[in-house]
Amino acid sequence: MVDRMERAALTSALGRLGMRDREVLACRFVTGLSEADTAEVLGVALGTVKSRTSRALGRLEAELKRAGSTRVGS
Amino acid sequence: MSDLVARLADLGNALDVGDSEVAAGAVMARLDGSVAPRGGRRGWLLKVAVVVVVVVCALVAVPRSREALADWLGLRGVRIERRDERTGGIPAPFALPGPGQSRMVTVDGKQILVSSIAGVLDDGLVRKIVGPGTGVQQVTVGGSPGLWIDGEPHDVLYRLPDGDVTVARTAGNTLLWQTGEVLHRVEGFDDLAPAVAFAALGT
Repeated sequence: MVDRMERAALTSALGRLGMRDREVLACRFVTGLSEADTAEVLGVALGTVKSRTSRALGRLEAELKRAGSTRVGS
Repeated sequence: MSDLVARLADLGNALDVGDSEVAAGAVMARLDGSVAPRGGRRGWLLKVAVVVVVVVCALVAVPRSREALADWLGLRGVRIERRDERTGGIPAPFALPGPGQSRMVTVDGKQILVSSIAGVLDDGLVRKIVGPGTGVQQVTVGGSPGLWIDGEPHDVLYRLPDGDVTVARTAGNTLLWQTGEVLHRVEGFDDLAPAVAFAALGT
């Protein structure tokens, strides 16, 4: 379970990402779409979804570290 | 990284978007039919696209609690109502203009310009003429190939049926897609997902 402070930190970090990062993370993990469905929703290739997701997670992790979050992805 | 994914999923639960179908229904009702759903898998994906756009926008504002997030998304207190997809305030699919013609369509209070040209989209030509402040992204609209061009004002080059190349100037973000020998263009959307969702309704 993620407490309110951590959730706020996560939301704040997401808000600092670019639109492409936010939309792929929103598709894949916030709304729980598969990679194939994400590709169709965003109108991009499956490989693009994979690469964007990886980069977006990396940037999100960096944002959380920069903000001093106590829990960063392991 | 798996912990980060779990935290994002937890955020999704907090946003009440775990059931995208239901959440999308609520958003659709709130938007009073800015995007009309279709049945089946494609319709479901269009609904999800609307939810994603709303979620992405909400993440910029950084509300501090589940209640604030729900309010921001317009999900709290919304009565979810299932109804026929072609009735009520939800618009039916619209007719695309014929080649050489254009029309304005009102979507959620915004004027959207839809036009059609007898010509063929040339991805290579487009990429040659856009400047550094303009992005070009390959997309699909209802299974047809297209391009999303955003950023600075730009020119669009396309080939006429006789092979000549001509140019059209556009001021804002533009969605282009090809069906047969006709090139369709939609201008007026700020973001890709709602533009594609709208364009897919054109018949």
